[in-house]
Amino acid sequence: MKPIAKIIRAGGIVTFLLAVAACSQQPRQDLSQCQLSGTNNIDRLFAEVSDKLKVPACHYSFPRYRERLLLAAKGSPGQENEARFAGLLRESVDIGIISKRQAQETFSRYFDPEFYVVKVEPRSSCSSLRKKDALYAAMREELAFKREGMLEILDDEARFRQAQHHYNDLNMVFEAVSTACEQSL
Amino acid sequence: MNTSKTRFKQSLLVLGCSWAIAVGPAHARISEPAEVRPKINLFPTSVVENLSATSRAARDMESGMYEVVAKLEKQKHAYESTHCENSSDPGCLQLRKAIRGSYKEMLDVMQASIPKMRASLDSTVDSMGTSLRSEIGRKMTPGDVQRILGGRTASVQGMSPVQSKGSRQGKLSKMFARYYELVKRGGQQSDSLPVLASQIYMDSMQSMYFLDLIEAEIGSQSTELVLELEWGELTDQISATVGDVKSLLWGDVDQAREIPEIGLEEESAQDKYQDLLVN
Repeated sequence: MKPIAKIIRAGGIVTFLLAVAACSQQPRQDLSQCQLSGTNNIDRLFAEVSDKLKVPACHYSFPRYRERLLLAAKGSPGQENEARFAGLLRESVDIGIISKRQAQETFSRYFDPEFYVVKVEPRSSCSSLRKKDALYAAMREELAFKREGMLEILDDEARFRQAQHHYNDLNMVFEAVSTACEQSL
Repeated sequence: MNTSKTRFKQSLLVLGCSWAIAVGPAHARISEPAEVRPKINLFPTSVVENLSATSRAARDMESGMYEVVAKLEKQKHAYESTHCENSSDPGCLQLRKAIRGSYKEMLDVMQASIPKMRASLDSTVDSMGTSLRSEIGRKMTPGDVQRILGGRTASVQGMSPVQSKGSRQGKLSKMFARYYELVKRGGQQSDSLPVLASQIYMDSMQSMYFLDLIEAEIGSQSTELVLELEWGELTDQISATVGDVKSLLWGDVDQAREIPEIGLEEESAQDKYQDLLVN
């Protein structure tokens, strides 16, 4: 065997061993440890999630927990759910599971009558509205989240109406401004 | 014929509504206290002057229409009460001719108002467009717009219905008055002004389009009237158009109620969750 071939072969073996070692470093998910009970009691479920999130191995289950909590909250709608979710999000930020920005995004999309997707648009209105279709689509999507959060989870019709008003007003202003900006081109 | 009639009806109503929209802010801006004026200047003097000119043109047309529509009403009543329909009696023919003459007069009043209206609407579109572009389009992000709209505090309950000031007050005037009230109260909050400006701009643009349709329709109806002045039976189109004009001037259905109560809803404080909200 030629020396170059030997080197390539040895390199391949080393790469394989490194890959195996790397895989063994992946966090093992202890399903039984991170599994939630079948309770439908909303307070108990939030407490349970809070406990699980203190275990680093369960951090990866955060999206799953969030979905479960949203579902459970819909089964028990009320204003208290806002504080429950706010508490959980703050806790998740403190532990380091999600960033503050992610927490704000989640909370705003569900519970703020104003539109997160509009707030984080950094460019001037004339520039932003060149892609108004994408912005409108994102607003529509967010309105669906607000419907879920405000109507199904908080049972707060007045707040959802407020979000709808924002949606209508913003659409009206954006449409006029984009037309005015186009006229100058 | 039916399509043409429907289009004419729509044109009348849209024009009426847009005039109403255009008139309110012209007055409201003038009466707005200085300390609560918005930081953005969406209604500079040029816009206010244009709106005022549009308002005057609308009022001129309205007052010109009252007399001729009232005359038409009397004639139509006489025509129906004397069972003139399908009759070749000389008196009835005379009456029919008079009705057509009055109808033409009504169309003429409308037609005469159109050039003035078009000129003022054109200026409104220009100045309002410049305002929106420079004050919002270039100076603000969409988030800034949302922040302004979000600052609303007045409540719908604070609104009292506009009182009618006598039987001569027309529907257009009622709408003017209602808009005036809305803007006067809403205008004290800068937050509703972008919506108002946007409405005025879009409606003025749409009105320009409808003005062309109305003018074309009046032209075609005037020709028909000249041809049928002596011979024709009164058409349904005449009756329908007079009905539309009447409902525009004195109508029972208050269209102003269907217009959204811009910026008058209460906002809930969410101080508890300030850390989870983006400003």
